[in-house]
Amino acid sequence: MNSTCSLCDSRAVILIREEQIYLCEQHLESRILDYVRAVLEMLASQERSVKIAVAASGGKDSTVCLYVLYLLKEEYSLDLMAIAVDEGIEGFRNVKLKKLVELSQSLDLDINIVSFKEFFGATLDDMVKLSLRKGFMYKPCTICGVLRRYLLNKVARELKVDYLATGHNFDDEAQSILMNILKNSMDKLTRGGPITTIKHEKFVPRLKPLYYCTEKEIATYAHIRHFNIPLVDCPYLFFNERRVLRRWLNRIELLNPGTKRRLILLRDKLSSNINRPSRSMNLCIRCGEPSSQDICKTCQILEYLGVA
Amino acid sequence: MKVPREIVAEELLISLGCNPIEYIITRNGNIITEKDILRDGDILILYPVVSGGRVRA
Repeated sequence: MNSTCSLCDSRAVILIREEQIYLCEQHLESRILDYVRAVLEMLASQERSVKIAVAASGGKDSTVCLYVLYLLKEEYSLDLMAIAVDEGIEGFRNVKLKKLVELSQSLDLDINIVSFKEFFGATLDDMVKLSLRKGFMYKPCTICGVLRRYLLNKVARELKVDYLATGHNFDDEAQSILMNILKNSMDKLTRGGPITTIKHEKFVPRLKPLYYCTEKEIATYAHIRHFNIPLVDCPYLFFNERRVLRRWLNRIELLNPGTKRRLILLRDKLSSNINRPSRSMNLCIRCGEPSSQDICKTCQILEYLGVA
Repeated sequence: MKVPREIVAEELLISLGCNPIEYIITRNGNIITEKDILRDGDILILYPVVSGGRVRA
């Protein structure tokens, strides 16, 4: 027996457990579009077209992010493009990027691909080997995350985009809150939300169009839209702390639906009660890119690895 | 594995150690929800929602 949509008589493709409602393909798409609209409504500049680059990895989240923004392109006068970073993870990123390029071409969207090898002189695979030899002070996800953000910001700025959109979703936000609690990072804990508040001429503001969408809603949508996201895992997944936390949080959410939402609400309450000075951003004395320290994390990692 | 003639998909997932939040279920190629009832002969594929999951057929 099939479940039917709570809003029409069509066959349901998802159960929204927290709300105890079933949605069909069409109503799931409407829900996702409405969530993304809610974020786009927050953009200050509505007088001219907004130039957005999606940081696309070829995974389900950034692919859905790119596609949904494409659907809303006319409605919000978006000047849309994609930026992809090829970190050089053999058998993983090359497979994902191939599909992403196909999608971008089918939507007639520009995609800019930059690689670690080209920019830093070494692939992530090379850097992980170097880190292992030197004592593994920097884990693969740290190297990848820091260097990816560095390149994305630099390329987005050079392309003069107004916002760099990422595929971060509702689940990611809840996980980040827990991670920051575990790291005793009050500063990061009380930041978040769908648009970054950091203001610096060299820092491209970040936008999270899928902020209100759960991972399951996104994955289900990617499936019904036949994006055929390659089901390959990053070989460095084992070292990812977030993965462990994500699984744990999902178990709690299953037992107690709404846990993730309550975490986000708690963070929002905390943030509104804290009188915080605006985050200072300097320029790295070596590379001139935005950094909260004298020497940015990218330069620190490259120096440790002996790259560049 | 041996299951009753009729079983709710969610029960099957949990008995396999899979969290229903983390999987999309297809039956004979169509997505179903975890509350749908499965019958003898249904061909299921479980697609992981989170990275690091495994496709199970």
